[in-house]
Amino acid sequence: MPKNRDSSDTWSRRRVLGTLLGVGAIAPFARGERRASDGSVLLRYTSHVPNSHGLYAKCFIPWREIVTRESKGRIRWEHYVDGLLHGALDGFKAVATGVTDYTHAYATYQPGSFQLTHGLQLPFLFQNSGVAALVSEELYPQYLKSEYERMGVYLAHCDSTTANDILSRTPIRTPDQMRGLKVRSTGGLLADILVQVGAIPVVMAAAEAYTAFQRGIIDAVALSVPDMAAYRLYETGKFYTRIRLSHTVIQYCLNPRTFDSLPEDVRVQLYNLYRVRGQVANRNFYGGEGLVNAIDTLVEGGVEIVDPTPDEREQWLDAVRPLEERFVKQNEALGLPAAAFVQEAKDRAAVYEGWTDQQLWDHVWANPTPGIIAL
Amino acid sequence: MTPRNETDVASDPPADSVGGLDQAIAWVDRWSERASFELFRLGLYVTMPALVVLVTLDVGLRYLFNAPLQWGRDANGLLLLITIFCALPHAWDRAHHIRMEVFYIRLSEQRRRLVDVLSSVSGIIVFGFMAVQGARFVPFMMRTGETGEDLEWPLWPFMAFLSLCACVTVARVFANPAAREDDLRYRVHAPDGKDSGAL
Repeated sequence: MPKNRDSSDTWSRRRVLGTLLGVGAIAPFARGERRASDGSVLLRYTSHVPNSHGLYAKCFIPWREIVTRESKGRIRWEHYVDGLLHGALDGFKAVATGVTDYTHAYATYQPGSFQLTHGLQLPFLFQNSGVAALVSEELYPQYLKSEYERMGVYLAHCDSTTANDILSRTPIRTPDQMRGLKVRSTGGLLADILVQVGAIPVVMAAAEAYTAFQRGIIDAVALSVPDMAAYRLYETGKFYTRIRLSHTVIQYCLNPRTFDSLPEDVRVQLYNLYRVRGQVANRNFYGGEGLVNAIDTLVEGGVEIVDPTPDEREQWLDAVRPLEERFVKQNEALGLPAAAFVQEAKDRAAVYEGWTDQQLWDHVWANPTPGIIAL
Repeated sequence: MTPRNETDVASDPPADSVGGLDQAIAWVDRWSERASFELFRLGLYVTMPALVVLVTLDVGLRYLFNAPLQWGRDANGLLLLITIFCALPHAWDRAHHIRMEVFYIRLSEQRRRLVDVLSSVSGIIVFGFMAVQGARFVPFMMRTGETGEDLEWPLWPFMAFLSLCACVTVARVFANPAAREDDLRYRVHAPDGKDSGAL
């Protein structure tokens, strides 16, 4: 038997080797063509979110329609969602390996690779998600471009989530009332903000918050209102503190090889259309009607809205100020212009104070921010 | 035979060796089986216990002392991934992978061998891509300073390790295409060559 087995193994191994050589020989001929004969280009968008998620249904799809209309069908898309081609954390790698042309690639998911970019999450920096997305792109060419392009990608555009607020069992108006509370959080600066006000951040996915909240594992959640509504957290939390702690600016990246290989007029057109993309997200998903509906859902669920007074808001600002100072100090020590960056972020945000979503929309169409990609 | 001594481990010449290629394959068989065994032991005695301890510690700190480990989720994810990849090549050798036995056992010997070749080729392609891409990611991750979300450790050593595990898996799938454990030299719970079936 051993002799037979040896023969059998040898037989199999030789055929495995032969088949692999055959597959290797034909593989190079199996590549597809991305450029159509009519001059249109086909680009690939990939996402970790399902096709029912707002980032796809309310952001990408409406924007794609704008692109099709404006480019008269020259720019076409194939899209793969639901993490089909790569996961949420692998956006940069997916572009580096040519798996995709355009995808989510968040700096918050790779904190060790970025420095100044994290400053966009500093507390109380922006009024709303539309301003956060616009100012982030305005700051990008001078302060953030080198960090982001070091990842081997171009920045396509920035979105900004709705501000993180607090939903709790007991009313919270001042930072003192946060002391000792276990609060659901993401990692990074949001957790640092909570530590700064004396709370205990419990890092968990938003989808796990309902059970944890219901069982008393956490006393409050720090989350955006649309997520509070989507995950039905109002069934447990009864007080919604509209404090707007911080925004999470999320970046989308472009494959440099694909973008550079496009015809020049398509490059310029696509660049300008990307400048609108952050405002599409603001109007359709993170702000606008969606935000109003989410707050209505909370109120209908019996949640009381707590709007801190100016004095109480000042207490929050004072409580988290050391965090901003620490961010500036740490980054200045690395030779980065952190103080100028934070100041310019505040100055630019102040320019758009009180602007409506429509004004922001008109502004990005009329004045696309230059310098994000060298055209 | 648990594990057998070095004399046992030393290779016999292939029964019907026709040249250097078969000798080379026999050499791959020897080192990869040893590597597979050591990786399995690493997973069994180091990373899985570490995972259990860390999860227990995190739960205890969270519920009893109100002090959860912020980096616990990242560390658990890494340990779980390492544990799974450590066990992969050994799982192939012990035929613990999923196989369509309903069909497989009804095939003739000749057809089984053809099916073995097909599944080996598929396995080698999948794990081969994983090994190559993992190795290619290492310099990229070093250059970009990739860390976990909350665990601020560089992740490239873990990617290099996963690439190594995938490489060993490729070698095992190639060297043992039928996933037959009878001829394995290194075993964990098989005194005197009798398989206890425990692992």
